[in-house]
Amino acid sequence: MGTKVLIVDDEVEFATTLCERLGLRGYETRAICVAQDALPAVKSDPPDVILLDLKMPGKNGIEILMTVKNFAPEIEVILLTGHMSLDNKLEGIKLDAFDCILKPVDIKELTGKIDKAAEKSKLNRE
Amino acid sequence: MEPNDEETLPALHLNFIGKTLSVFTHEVKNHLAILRESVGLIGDLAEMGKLSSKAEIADSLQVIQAIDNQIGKTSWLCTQLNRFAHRMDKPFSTFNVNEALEELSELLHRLANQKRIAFQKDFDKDIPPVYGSPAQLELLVFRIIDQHMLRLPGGGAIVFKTGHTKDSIKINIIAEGNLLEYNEEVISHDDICEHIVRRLGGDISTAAGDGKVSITIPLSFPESGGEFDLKKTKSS
Amino acid sequence: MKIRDKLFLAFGFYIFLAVVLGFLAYKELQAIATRLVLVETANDISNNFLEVRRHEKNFLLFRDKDSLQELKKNLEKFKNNINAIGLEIVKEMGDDDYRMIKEAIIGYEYLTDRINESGSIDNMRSMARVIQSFAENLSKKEMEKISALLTNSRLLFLYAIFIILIVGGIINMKLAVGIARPLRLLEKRTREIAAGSFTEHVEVKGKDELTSLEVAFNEMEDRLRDAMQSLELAVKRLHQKQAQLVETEKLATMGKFAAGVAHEINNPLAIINEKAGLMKDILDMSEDSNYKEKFLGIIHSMLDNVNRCRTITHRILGFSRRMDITSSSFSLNETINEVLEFLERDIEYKNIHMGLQLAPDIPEIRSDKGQIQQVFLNIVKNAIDAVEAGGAIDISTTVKAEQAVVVSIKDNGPGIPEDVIKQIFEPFFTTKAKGKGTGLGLSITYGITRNLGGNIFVKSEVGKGTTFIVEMPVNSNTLAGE
Repeated sequence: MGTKVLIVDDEVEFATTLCERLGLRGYETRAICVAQDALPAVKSDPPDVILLDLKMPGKNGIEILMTVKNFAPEIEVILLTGHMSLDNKLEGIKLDAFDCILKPVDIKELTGKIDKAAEKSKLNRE
Repeated sequence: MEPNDEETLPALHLNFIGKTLSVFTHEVKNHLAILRESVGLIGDLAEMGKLSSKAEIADSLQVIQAIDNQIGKTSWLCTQLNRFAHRMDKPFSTFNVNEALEELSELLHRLANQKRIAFQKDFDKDIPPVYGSPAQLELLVFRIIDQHMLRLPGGGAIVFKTGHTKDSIKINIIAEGNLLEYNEEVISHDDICEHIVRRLGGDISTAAGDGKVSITIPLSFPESGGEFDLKKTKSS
Repeated sequence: MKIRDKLFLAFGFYIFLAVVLGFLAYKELQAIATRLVLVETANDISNNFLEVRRHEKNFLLFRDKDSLQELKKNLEKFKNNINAIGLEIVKEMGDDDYRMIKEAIIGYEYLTDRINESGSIDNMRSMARVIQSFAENLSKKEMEKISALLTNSRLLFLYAIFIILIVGGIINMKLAVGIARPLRLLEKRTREIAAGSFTEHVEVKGKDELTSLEVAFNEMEDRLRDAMQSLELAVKRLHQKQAQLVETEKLATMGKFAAGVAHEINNPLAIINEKAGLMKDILDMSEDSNYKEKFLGIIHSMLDNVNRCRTITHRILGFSRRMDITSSSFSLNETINEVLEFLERDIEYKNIHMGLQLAPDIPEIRSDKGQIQQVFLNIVKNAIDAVEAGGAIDISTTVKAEQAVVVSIKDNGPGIPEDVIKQIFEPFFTTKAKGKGTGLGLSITYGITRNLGGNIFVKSEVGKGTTFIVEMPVNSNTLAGE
């Protein structure tokens, strides 16, 4: 479908492998594993959907989300999380994330969410 | 001087957590071992070039599926541990009794399996959330499970049944199978259990004869419940 | 009766006594004075009649008118004096004698009037003799009388003094008992309360000022006792709340740790998952059937991550074993001996001289025996490693303030420099060569000791040796008020 996906996660192997898998499924995917590189990457080549791991060292995840939602609100963000709890969900909603998904991910579920997010992103731009 | 219930409670609680972690660890190790084997197998197949024909590919896909399953199981276990661990963030919180019992049975079922006892869940789907101390409740249930397991030397099942009334939650922990008679060493619940239930503002009782222990916890937290009450503990 | 009244009464009584005695004394003196007059008069009477007799003699010798006149004069005086103390004479000598003397006087008078007649002189003389003897008797009697009176008075005074002493003594004693003793008692009770011991109230009797004082004192004691009990209770509650807080924190820490574990295992799992997924994808989607190399790479990565998980589980296993505290009562002397038995060969091999000063009366402690053994095993092992062949290790056990048992393990090894001591309990800190020793020993020892509610210290001087001190509480909840 050509949807541009940016993966932001500090676990290199996870990010790169997922990148490859999504690539096999037709998504244009990049992986960023250093938090500081995330925003520049978004600015230089804005994606349609961002897969964001909140639990990166230094609480950068939330900052990145807030910043992105600030200057590029049309980009939809899906949160990657180790465990689902009420607090997490609430925080996600508060921060205007599109959805969240548990790690280890079910690839089918993930692609489903990515597609939905991409659609919304397209609507946002119109 | 014999320490009273209030004083031994923290030690017992830490003990319980330690035990739970221990059981968890053993289970995870098992899963990981299986995982390693499966991965190793695929490796061997790849090594031997046995990944060309359709049949071989089908086989290897099965192995990979097995890997997937293992991961699923292990991950599920981690989720339970995580939930369990977060119970201790705050002394009191609003929680779902079914979830608390679920993570407990998931984390400890290996313990029961070793004794050929199965954990079964019979949960009330519409159970309301309750405000209290989930960690303490789990400790309490753990102690009861412990006693039940002693009464089922030949194996059997322990059923976790939940229900609710207008203003309380009911938890029944039922031992099924050939039950040993109660004696000095095997009791349904001890003073510590009573103490914890009191702290939660609830009630505990054992139906005579059958192995059913009933715990009732009020939905709304009583004013004095949970607070350290000198009068109540100085019963000795 | 009020003390004030009692005192009034006592003083009043004294004054009364004084007045009475004074009065009595006055009376006595008056009596003596009276008696003295009588004595004087009796003497006068005696003297008078002596004069009469002198003049009588003179007259008989010289037959002069003067002598006769003098005689008559003195006789008159004599008569008057007799009359003056007529009653006294009657009292002392009796009615008969009084009549007799009066008659004698009359007779003598009569005879003096007829002194020139013959025979009068002889009659006069016999009359005179009677009168004289009477007068002398009277004098004597009066002297006796006054003597007796004086003796009486003296006796009376002695009695009075005696009575005063006795009565005074009794009064004083009663006052002392009534006032001083209760006060002393109150003082004693005050001291006791100050020392912290409260007594049973003694029933308060009586209705004087001391009674109200005692009642007030009892009240005060009650208040103090209540206040102290409330304070003790409050302090106890505070300690328990503190202990609770500590335990809540421990639990929260445990919770965080467990949550951390869950998270850390989950990450590698997620990776393995992706890798497996990728393999599946490749098998499913790839046209190219030459994926051996690729797969091997993937599998390698998966195994690495499986190992990651295993490492983590190892860690928590160790930790959870430490959490699993099994409690029992045992003596640290026993533990030390067991540890030394275990290390017997190492000690012998190095020819180490073990000095043991294990106090026989140390109380048993309630703790996890296995873990405590571990602690001392670590420390003694370190000491053995530190000393040279033939070195000395001294181990002692003592009690500290009845609340803790203190174990000291001293070696005469090279000692530890100051900058190293500071880090000695840090994990991964080791002075041993690379590959020998993980640097975890002492940090684990420290962790175990603290976890069991104890304390561990180290003292060392380069060139002199090192001492490790472990304090374990007798009751495992007391020292853990960290």
